[in-house]
Amino acid sequence: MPGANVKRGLILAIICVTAFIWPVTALVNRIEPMVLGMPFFMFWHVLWVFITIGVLAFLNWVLKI
Amino acid sequence: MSPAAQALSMIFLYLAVVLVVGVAARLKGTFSISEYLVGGRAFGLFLLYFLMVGDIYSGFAFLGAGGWAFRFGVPIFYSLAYSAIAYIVFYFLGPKIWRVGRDQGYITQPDFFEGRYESPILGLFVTLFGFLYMIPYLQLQIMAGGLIFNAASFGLMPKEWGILLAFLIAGLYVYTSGLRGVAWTNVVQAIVMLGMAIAAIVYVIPSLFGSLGQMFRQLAETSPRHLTLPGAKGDLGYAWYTSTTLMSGLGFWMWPHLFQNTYSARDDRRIRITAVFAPFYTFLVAITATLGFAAILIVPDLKEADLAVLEVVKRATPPWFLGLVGAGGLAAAMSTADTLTLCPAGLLGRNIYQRWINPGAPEMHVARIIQRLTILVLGISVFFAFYAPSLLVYLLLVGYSGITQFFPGAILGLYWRRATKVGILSGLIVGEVLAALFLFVPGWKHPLGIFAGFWGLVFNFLMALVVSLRTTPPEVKTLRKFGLA
Repeated sequence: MPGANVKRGLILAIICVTAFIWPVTALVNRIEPMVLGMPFFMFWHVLWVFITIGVLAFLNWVLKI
Repeated sequence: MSPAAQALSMIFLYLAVVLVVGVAARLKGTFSISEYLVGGRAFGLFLLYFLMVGDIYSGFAFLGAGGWAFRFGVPIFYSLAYSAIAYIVFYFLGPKIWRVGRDQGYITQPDFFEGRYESPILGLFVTLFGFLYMIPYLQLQIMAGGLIFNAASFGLMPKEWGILLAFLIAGLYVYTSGLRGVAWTNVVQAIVMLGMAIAAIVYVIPSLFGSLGQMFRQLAETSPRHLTLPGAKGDLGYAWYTSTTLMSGLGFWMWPHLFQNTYSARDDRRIRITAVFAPFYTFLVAITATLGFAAILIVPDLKEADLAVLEVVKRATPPWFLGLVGAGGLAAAMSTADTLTLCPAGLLGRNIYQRWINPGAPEMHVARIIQRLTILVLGISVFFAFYAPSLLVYLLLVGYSGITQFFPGAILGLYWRRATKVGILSGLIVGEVLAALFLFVPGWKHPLGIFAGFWGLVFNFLMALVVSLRTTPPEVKTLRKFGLA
């Protein structure tokens, strides 16, 4: 069902956007724990850029929207 | 060989490769506006991807991001955040923009606005605003190029000579090869800029600090304010971060050159795949920002923050390596400057000359005019860079906020049949005026800590919605062209 897939895709996209804005940024605005040598705020951003790539790949090749 | 000669020889090598690739790219098929400005709508995934990432990651990604990290700290990661959001927007919007462009024969961004809203005046507005915001952006790339040339040659090469050399080459391949020259040189430039940034961080951080973790531990002790919001100066809090991220992410594809580049794709599938993989280039900003953090510890008294990346590299590597990193920075500036030369020339030629001055002009004639206008556009920007570097600073400051105001017109135009020309035009004017007021008027700046352009965008949307509902929608035959009826 293309319509349902578009809805799923939009929900995933909105989750990615939410990860980068308030109030989520307030929760991750910290130095510790450092992960892979990065302060947590920086690590969070690097992590979510990777997740965004994964979500867009999912939209393209699995949901096909 | 002296250190400066070692570094300069690397930069000259890079410039020679770019010149050969750019001129060799030449145009395919018949010379036409479409061939010159959008590569005959024939770009496959390889060219489309490198065209986009080369255009997007500018001198700012290389110099500015390091400078920002050095001065303000982690607020620079708004750049990663808005890029990720921008690619999500592109995934959904890009294929639609491409499809109407192919079906209606659009080549520039104002073509879309004029066609969708049956309004030559709206097309003219978008042309003029787009042109005004792109010229200072081009000037900035030129100045960044001069700065890099000078710093990477240990001061041997004067900024002005560096500018003339680098942008003469860019001008030459834009003139001869149009978007194909831009795209093929972007392949070289995008590889050089990311490759050199990765090489720099892999070499520099371990040799100066032992590891990334040790560097950030040291920074957490000496300057913890750099590592959390609201940043080292204490003025970039959550409201600023969220509003700037959303505004920049949503408005990103409204830059006329990026909007127009979408038309160069062979099909919409390639646009989606480009959107999937483009975020990898965002890590360029994370790398240069990390080198900026290193500068806080290595050169804390640095006067010119934009030199943070090159100063750190200079202290940890041999001169020839600095030359290569300088070439990476120059690549970032040139790969954005070339498209910013081509696109404004296209706007003037197609949407001013052909639309208003000489509507009956043959296609070939207009294409030749656009080709000559590239010289004018680049010449004016180099002139400003030399003789009046601060003249356009206000336009530059309002640039991102201003360009974002095109977003309601684009998204409502593609998804909402009730969007009207009066609604979009009044929203655009309100958005532009509010963004400028909240940027420049003392006492009114960034109300509640929310970025000026975001306020503009909110009221722009409201105005566009309310006025559209009270005015006559476009004719059904127009809406049908956009799949809205």
